[in-house]
Amino acid sequence: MGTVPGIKAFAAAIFGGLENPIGILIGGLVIGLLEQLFGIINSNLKEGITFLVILLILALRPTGLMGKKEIEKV
Amino acid sequence: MRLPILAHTGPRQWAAFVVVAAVVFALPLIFADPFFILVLQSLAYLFIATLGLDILVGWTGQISLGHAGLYAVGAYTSALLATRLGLPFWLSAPVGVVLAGLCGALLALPSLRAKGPYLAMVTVAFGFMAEVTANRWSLTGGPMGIMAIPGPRLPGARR
Repeated sequence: MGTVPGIKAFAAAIFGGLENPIGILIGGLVIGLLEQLFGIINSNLKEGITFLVILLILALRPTGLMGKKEIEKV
Repeated sequence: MRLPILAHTGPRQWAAFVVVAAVVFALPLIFADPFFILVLQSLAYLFIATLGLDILVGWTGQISLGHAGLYAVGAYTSALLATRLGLPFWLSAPVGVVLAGLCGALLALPSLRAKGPYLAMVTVAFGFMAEVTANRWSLTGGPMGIMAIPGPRLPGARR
Protein backbone atom coordinates (compact mmCIF):
# COMPACT_ATOMS: atom_id res chain seq x y z
CA MET A 1 0.00 0.00 0.00
CA GLY A 2 1.24 3.45 -0.89
CA THR A 3 4.40 2.34 -2.68
CA VAL A 4 3.72 4.24 -5.88
CA PRO A 5 2.81 7.57 -4.16
CA GLY A 6 5.92 7.09 -2.02
CA ILE A 7 8.14 6.65 -5.07
CA LYS A 8 6.53 9.72 -6.68
CA ALA A 9 7.14 11.81 -3.55
CA PHE A 10 10.77 10.68 -3.52
CA ALA A 11 10.98 11.55 -7.21
CA ALA A 12 9.60 15.05 -6.51
CA ALA A 13 12.19 15.57 -3.76
CA ILE A 14 15.04 14.42 -5.99
CA PHE A 15 13.74 16.43 -8.94
CA GLY A 16 14.00 19.74 -7.07
CA GLY A 17 17.14 18.90 -5.15
CA LEU A 18 17.13 17.42 -1.66
CA GLU A 19 18.61 20.40 0.21
CA ASN A 20 16.15 22.90 -1.21
CA PRO A 21 12.56 22.95 0.19
CA ILE A 22 11.33 25.40 -2.45
CA GLY A 23 12.84 23.16 -5.12
CA ILE A 24 10.96 20.17 -3.70
CA LEU A 25 7.70 22.17 -3.80
CA ILE A 26 8.31 23.07 -7.45
CA GLY A 27 9.42 19.51 -8.20
CA GLY A 28 6.16 18.10 -6.87
CA LEU A 29 4.15 20.59 -8.92
CA VAL A 30 6.12 19.88 -12.11
CA ILE A 31 5.87 16.11 -11.73
CA GLY A 32 2.12 16.23 -11.07
CA LEU A 33 1.53 18.50 -14.07
CA LEU A 34 3.79 16.41 -16.36
CA GLU A 35 1.96 13.24 -15.43
CA GLN A 36 -1.45 14.71 -16.16
CA LEU A 37 -0.26 16.34 -19.41
CA PHE A 38 1.09 13.02 -20.69
CA GLY A 39 -2.15 11.46 -19.47
CA ILE A 40 -4.07 13.64 -21.94
CA ILE A 41 -2.08 12.17 -24.85
CA ASN A 42 -2.25 8.54 -23.71
CA SER A 43 -3.04 7.38 -20.20
CA ASN A 44 -0.74 4.37 -20.62
CA LEU A 45 2.25 6.66 -21.07
CA LYS A 46 1.88 8.98 -18.12
CA GLU A 47 3.89 7.32 -15.36
CA GLY A 48 6.60 5.84 -17.58
CA ILE A 49 7.35 9.11 -19.36
CA THR A 50 7.39 11.07 -16.08
CA PHE A 51 10.14 8.81 -14.76
CA LEU A 52 11.96 9.03 -18.10
CA VAL A 53 12.00 12.83 -17.70
CA ILE A 54 13.46 12.43 -14.18
CA LEU A 55 16.15 10.10 -15.56
CA LEU A 56 17.06 12.66 -18.25
CA ILE A 57 17.20 15.50 -15.71
CA LEU A 58 19.42 13.47 -13.39
CA ALA A 59 21.68 12.69 -16.35
CA LEU A 60 22.12 16.43 -16.97
CA ARG A 61 22.03 17.68 -13.36
CA PRO A 62 23.13 14.92 -10.95
CA THR A 63 21.90 16.84 -7.86
CA GLY A 64 18.47 17.76 -9.17
CA LEU A 65 17.27 20.96 -10.80
CA MET A 66 17.93 23.24 -7.82
CA GLY A 67 20.28 21.16 -5.71
CA LYS A 68 23.62 22.39 -4.49
CA LYS A 69 26.30 22.11 -7.10
CA GLU A 70 29.10 20.08 -5.63
CA ILE A 71 32.58 20.68 -6.88
CA GLU A 72 33.84 17.33 -8.01
CA LYS A 73 37.20 16.48 -6.55
CA VAL A 74 38.94 13.94 -8.68
CA MET B 1 39.94 -10.42 -14.72
CA ARG B 2 38.56 -12.61 -11.96
CA LEU B 3 34.87 -12.35 -11.35
CA PRO B 4 34.03 -11.10 -7.85
CA ILE B 5 31.99 -14.15 -7.05
CA LEU B 6 35.00 -16.30 -7.92
CA ALA B 7 37.49 -14.17 -5.97
CA HIS B 8 37.49 -16.30 -2.82
CA THR B 9 36.57 -19.65 -4.25
CA GLY B 10 38.67 -22.58 -3.23
CA PRO B 11 38.16 -26.27 -4.01
CA ARG B 12 35.49 -26.56 -1.29
CA GLN B 13 33.36 -23.78 -2.82
CA TRP B 14 33.74 -25.31 -6.29
CA ALA B 15 32.60 -28.65 -4.86
CA ALA B 16 29.59 -26.90 -3.31
CA PHE B 17 28.74 -25.30 -6.71
CA VAL B 18 28.95 -28.67 -8.43
CA VAL B 19 26.76 -30.33 -5.77
CA VAL B 20 24.11 -27.59 -5.96
CA ALA B 21 24.10 -27.70 -9.78
CA ALA B 22 23.77 -31.49 -9.70
CA VAL B 23 20.87 -31.28 -7.21
CA VAL B 24 19.06 -28.62 -9.30
CA PHE B 25 19.59 -30.77 -12.39
CA ALA B 26 18.58 -34.08 -10.79
CA LEU B 27 15.59 -33.08 -8.62
CA PRO B 28 13.11 -32.54 -11.53
CA LEU B 29 13.98 -36.05 -12.75
CA ILE B 30 13.12 -37.50 -9.34
CA PHE B 31 10.08 -35.33 -8.49
CA ALA B 32 8.30 -34.73 -11.81
CA ASP B 33 5.77 -32.36 -10.24
CA PRO B 34 5.13 -29.26 -12.43
CA PHE B 35 4.88 -26.92 -9.44
CA PHE B 36 8.11 -28.22 -7.95
CA ILE B 37 9.87 -27.79 -11.29
CA LEU B 38 8.53 -24.21 -11.48
CA VAL B 39 9.97 -23.42 -8.04
CA LEU B 40 13.36 -24.88 -8.99
CA GLN B 41 13.33 -22.93 -12.27
CA SER B 42 12.61 -19.70 -10.39
CA LEU B 43 15.52 -20.49 -8.08
CA ALA B 44 17.87 -20.91 -11.04
CA TYR B 45 16.61 -17.76 -12.82
CA LEU B 46 16.82 -15.63 -9.69
CA PHE B 47 20.35 -16.90 -9.11
CA ILE B 48 21.36 -15.42 -12.49
CA ALA B 49 19.77 -12.07 -11.57
CA THR B 50 21.42 -12.11 -8.13
CA LEU B 51 24.81 -12.83 -9.71
CA GLY B 52 24.55 -9.50 -11.55
CA LEU B 53 23.48 -7.73 -8.37
CA ASP B 54 26.40 -9.29 -6.52
CA ILE B 55 28.91 -7.83 -8.99
CA LEU B 56 27.32 -4.37 -8.72
CA VAL B 57 26.53 -4.09 -5.00
CA GLY B 58 29.08 -6.46 -3.51
CA TRP B 59 32.05 -5.54 -5.67
CA THR B 60 31.62 -1.83 -6.45
CA GLY B 61 29.38 -0.81 -3.50
CA GLN B 62 26.85 1.00 -5.70
CA ILE B 63 23.22 0.65 -4.73
CA SER B 64 20.79 -0.60 -7.34
CA LEU B 65 17.09 -0.71 -6.52
CA GLY B 66 15.95 -1.20 -10.11
CA HIS B 67 17.88 -4.33 -10.88
CA ALA B 68 14.72 -6.28 -11.65
CA GLY B 69 14.20 -3.88 -14.58
CA LEU B 70 17.27 -5.27 -16.34
CA TYR B 71 16.15 -8.81 -15.52
CA ALA B 72 12.79 -7.94 -17.13
CA VAL B 73 14.42 -6.50 -20.28
CA GLY B 74 16.44 -9.67 -20.86
CA ALA B 75 13.58 -12.02 -20.07
CA TYR B 76 10.98 -10.16 -22.16
CA THR B 77 13.37 -9.85 -25.13
CA SER B 78 14.13 -13.53 -25.12
CA ALA B 79 10.46 -14.50 -24.65
CA LEU B 80 9.19 -12.14 -27.38
CA LEU B 81 11.80 -13.28 -29.89
CA ALA B 82 10.89 -16.90 -29.19
CA THR B 83 7.10 -16.46 -29.39
CA ARG B 84 6.69 -13.74 -32.06
CA LEU B 85 9.59 -14.52 -34.40
CA GLY B 86 9.99 -18.18 -33.56
CA LEU B 87 13.70 -17.94 -32.89
CA PRO B 88 15.27 -20.92 -31.11
CA PHE B 89 16.26 -20.53 -27.46
CA TRP B 90 19.98 -20.65 -28.27
CA LEU B 91 19.57 -17.49 -30.38
CA SER B 92 16.89 -15.60 -28.41
CA ALA B 93 18.61 -15.94 -25.02
CA PRO B 94 21.96 -14.36 -26.13
CA VAL B 95 20.04 -11.52 -27.84
CA GLY B 96 18.20 -10.95 -24.54
CA VAL B 97 21.52 -10.85 -22.70
CA VAL B 98 22.94 -8.32 -25.19
CA LEU B 99 19.86 -6.06 -25.01
CA ALA B 100 19.83 -6.16 -21.19
CA GLY B 101 23.53 -5.25 -21.26
CA LEU B 102 22.85 -2.32 -23.61
CA CYS B 103 20.06 -1.08 -21.32
CA GLY B 104 22.45 -1.38 -18.38
CA ALA B 105 25.07 0.65 -20.26
CA LEU B 106 22.44 3.29 -21.07
CA LEU B 107 21.36 3.38 -17.42
CA ALA B 108 25.01 3.76 -16.42
CA LEU B 109 25.20 7.19 -18.09
CA PRO B 110 22.98 9.01 -15.51
CA SER B 111 24.22 6.67 -12.74
CA LEU B 112 27.87 7.60 -13.24
CA ARG B 113 27.50 11.16 -11.95
CA ALA B 114 24.71 10.71 -9.40
CA LYS B 115 25.46 9.46 -5.91
CA GLY B 116 23.67 8.62 -2.67
CA PRO B 117 19.90 9.21 -2.80
CA TYR B 118 20.18 10.57 -6.34
CA LEU B 119 21.69 7.29 -7.52
CA ALA B 120 18.89 5.45 -5.70
CA MET B 121 16.39 7.60 -7.61
CA VAL B 122 18.00 6.80 -10.98
CA THR B 123 17.76 3.06 -10.34
CA VAL B 124 14.25 3.24 -8.83
CA ALA B 125 13.08 5.30 -11.82
CA PHE B 126 14.43 2.69 -14.24
CA GLY B 127 12.89 -0.20 -12.31
CA PHE B 128 9.55 1.58 -12.09
CA MET B 129 9.64 2.44 -15.80
CA ALA B 130 10.32 -1.18 -16.70
CA GLU B 131 7.46 -2.36 -14.46
CA VAL B 132 4.94 0.18 -15.79
CA THR B 133 5.96 -0.46 -19.41
CA ALA B 134 5.67 -4.22 -19.04
CA ASN B 135 2.25 -3.85 -17.41
CA ARG B 136 0.77 -1.37 -19.89
CA TRP B 137 2.29 -2.24 -23.28
CA SER B 138 0.20 -4.57 -25.43
CA LEU B 139 3.37 -6.15 -26.89
CA THR B 140 4.45 -7.51 -23.49
CA GLY B 141 1.00 -8.90 -22.74
CA GLY B 142 0.25 -6.65 -19.76
CA PRO B 143 -0.09 -8.24 -16.32
CA MET B 144 -0.83 -11.60 -17.97
CA GLY B 145 2.69 -11.83 -19.32
CA ILE B 146 3.73 -14.05 -22.21
CA MET B 147 2.43 -17.60 -22.34
CA ALA B 148 3.66 -20.74 -24.10
CA ILE B 149 7.32 -19.85 -24.52
CA PRO B 150 9.03 -22.71 -26.34
CA GLY B 151 11.72 -24.39 -24.29
CA PRO B 152 15.31 -24.98 -25.38
CA ARG B 153 15.91 -27.90 -27.73
CA LEU B 154 19.05 -29.92 -27.98
CA PRO B 155 19.84 -31.68 -31.26
CA GLY B 156 18.91 -35.33 -30.94
CA ALA B 157 17.02 -34.90 -27.64
CA ARG B 158 13.49 -36.27 -27.54
CA ARG B 159 10.66 -34.09 -26.30
